[in-house]
Amino acid sequence: MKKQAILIILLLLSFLGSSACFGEDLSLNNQFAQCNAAYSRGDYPEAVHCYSLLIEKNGFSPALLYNLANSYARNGEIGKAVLNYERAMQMKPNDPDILGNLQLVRKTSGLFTGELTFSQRFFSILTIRYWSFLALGGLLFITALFLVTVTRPLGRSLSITVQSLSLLAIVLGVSGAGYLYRNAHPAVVIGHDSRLLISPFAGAASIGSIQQGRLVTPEKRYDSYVYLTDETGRKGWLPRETIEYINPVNRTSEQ
Amino acid sequence: MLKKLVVIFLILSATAGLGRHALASVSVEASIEPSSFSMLEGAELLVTVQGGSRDAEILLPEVKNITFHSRGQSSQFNWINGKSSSSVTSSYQVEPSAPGNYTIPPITVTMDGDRYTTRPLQFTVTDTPAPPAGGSSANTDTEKNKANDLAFLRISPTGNRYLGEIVPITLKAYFDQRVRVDLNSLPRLDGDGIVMEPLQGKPQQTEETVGNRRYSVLTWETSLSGIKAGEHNFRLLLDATMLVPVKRRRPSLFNSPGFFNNGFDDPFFDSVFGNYQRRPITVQSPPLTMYINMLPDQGKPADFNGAIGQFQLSVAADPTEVEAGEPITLLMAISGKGNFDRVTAPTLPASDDWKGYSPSDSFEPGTNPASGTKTFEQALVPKKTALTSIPPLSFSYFDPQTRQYRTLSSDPIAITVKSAGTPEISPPPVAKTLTAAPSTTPQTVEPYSDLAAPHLEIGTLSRRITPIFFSSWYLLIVSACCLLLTVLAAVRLHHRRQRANPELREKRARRLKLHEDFSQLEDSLKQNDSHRFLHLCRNILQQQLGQWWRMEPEAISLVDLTQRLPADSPLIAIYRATDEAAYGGTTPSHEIVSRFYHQLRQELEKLQ
Repeated sequence: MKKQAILIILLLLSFLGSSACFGEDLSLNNQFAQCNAAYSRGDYPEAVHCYSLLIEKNGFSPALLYNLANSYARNGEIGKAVLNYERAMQMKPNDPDILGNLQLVRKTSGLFTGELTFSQRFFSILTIRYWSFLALGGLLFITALFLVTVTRPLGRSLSITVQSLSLLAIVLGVSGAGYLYRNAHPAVVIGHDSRLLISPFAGAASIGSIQQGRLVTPEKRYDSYVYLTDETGRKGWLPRETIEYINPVNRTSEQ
Repeated sequence: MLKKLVVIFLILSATAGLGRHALASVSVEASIEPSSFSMLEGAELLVTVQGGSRDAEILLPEVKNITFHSRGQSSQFNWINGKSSSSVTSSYQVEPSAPGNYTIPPITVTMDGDRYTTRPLQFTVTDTPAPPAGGSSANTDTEKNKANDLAFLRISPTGNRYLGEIVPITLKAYFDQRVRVDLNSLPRLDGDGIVMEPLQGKPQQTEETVGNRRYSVLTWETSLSGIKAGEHNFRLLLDATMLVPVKRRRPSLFNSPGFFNNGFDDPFFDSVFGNYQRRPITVQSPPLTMYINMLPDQGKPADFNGAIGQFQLSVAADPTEVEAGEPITLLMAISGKGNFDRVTAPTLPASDDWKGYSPSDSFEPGTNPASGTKTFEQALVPKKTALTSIPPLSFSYFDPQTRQYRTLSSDPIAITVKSAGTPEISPPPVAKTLTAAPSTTPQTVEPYSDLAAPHLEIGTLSRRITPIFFSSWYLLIVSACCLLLTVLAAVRLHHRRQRANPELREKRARRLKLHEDFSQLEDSLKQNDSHRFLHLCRNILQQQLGQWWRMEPEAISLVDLTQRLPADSPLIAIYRATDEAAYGGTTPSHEIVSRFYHQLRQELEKLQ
């Protein structure tokens, strides 16, 4: 009797829990559909607000970031569009929609990057995610080989071949992921009509404006200004609020 | 096994023989195909080393206006009627930078310390585009240089300017329509002391005829600005990639006489099947000079902040009827053409009657470069009820056309300041009108209408966007693998060391032997076979002590034991008993034998 009561309580709890989760999912999907509806009827400021709210409450997903980026692009906010496409690319690097729209926005806005070097071309064969997988695969393989050979020795040539291939995969994977991570510009200019200054104060002479959507690498900070290099190699100071980090963790760690 | 060795020997001998044969007849040839070609096509230089190897070092001479690009090597090996020959051919793309007749001096090939040279090669670069005539640029002395270019840049004249002055320019990039070009960058400025406003948006695309040739023209509107006084020489550059069609030159099956002869010689097949060579180029403007003057000190107003250009000022206030202590919003618009980044808010004369807050600003760009309206919004609080107007505000700038400083002043704006608590008759709302501010019309063009559609599934949500190698599961797997690998490597190393150490090996063997001997001892003890037990004891003692003392086991006697072991060692008694059993035939009782067994085991384990 006692067992039966416990069983019924457990069943009830699990039912309540699952229905709560289901309800939450339903609500989330409804909100997402509402955001999409705002986008479809051309109310892009509302779509931006709606998607941003969803992200703030529930976190990131490639689809959310991609739709938010589209809304920003249609709303004429190229900097934030590029920022969110870049974020979406970090989460889903091979999505053709994200890649296509990012390239379209960059091309239409005149955000050229110049000729790629050999190493840039080579390491662009795979994304940072797949270089990481390659390194991990090599490591798993060499570990498995060591485990197998403890109990059952393999032939010398076979063992050397497998070890060499695994080490090659590890070296290539680590190099690729490291190169792309080190050379990726971590921030995007989001400010309209931003001007690169030669010194970190408002009245300083300007060396020209910097387009919103430009990828930049912040190098140092002084007061409310950041010294940075943009993807075309120009260097200068920008107000901190005119750039946004692609990875939001960087922003919080900086603060 | 012997057969295999013989086969390997024969193969090596044959290879060595061939190598010697090949080395014996080395010859070097060079050819260029075609020997006459246009600037748009390029040619291929082939250096063939007959009887050579890939180790041959080819030294190409320097030829002015000609660049050689290596395109790899190919090797050929023939064995016809028992006679062998081999050759290595190195291929180079010949890229001319100017038309003319050229001679490539003898090419030197070094192989195994010997030097070989080719004959000089002659070729002609033709089909120079006809020089275009005319043009909109004032720089006529550079027209001849531009005429030979397939692509060039032109900008509108700049002249003498002032430090910080914004100079609007029109920048045009011309590309010959016969050439396919990919842009790798936007035009950029090459020079010191002058900066160019980065180009934004799509350039205007038109077509122009310069001379008798059609050009595709990209036009940007932008501006230059001097940041250092003095004479500055600069150029504008643009990186592009020219796709040059490369003619098929290798003789093919279809080019041989009598076999589909001439059927594939049509240039059509060059464009369809032929390759395009990607040739990076830098499109340049002619050298330009801009003289930057310092602003005059004479007549410089005290409130001058560096604004240079032509500006208008308009000021409005809202509301104009307030109670003392209530804020009035002052709207100040400066419109015109110039360096708006140096335009600051007009200043209110210092007075104790007003409390002013920091103004906020916004900029609305105009249709022309460097033009627009900068609007400042400032809150002003009247402190006294006696105030009847907002005093005139002033803004100073330098006009480069008249070369004079100018100060704009607004008219006083009438206001009514009531004392707090006076019954208020609500006035009609005052419209914010700014006469000088241009009316902005919203653009109806829908941007980015060709973006891919939004996604309909929200997907998996995550609180963080981090590279995969920072995710916890990835780090966990990597750590586990590294730990496992370390442990396995340590185990392997330990095993290898053990296998390599003779002492350890011997010790292990001794332990194994002892283990086996004791099992036999146990058997004999169980069978109550005291004679065999003592015989085995004797053997065990001789073996173990022999190894321990580095002596022959058979040579060990009771004397050795009494000399080397302590007098009270049980091993001596055991050995004595084994001696007596062997030579006297006496065997001890089972109890004694059992005791011997335990003592023996104990003592030998101590020795181990």
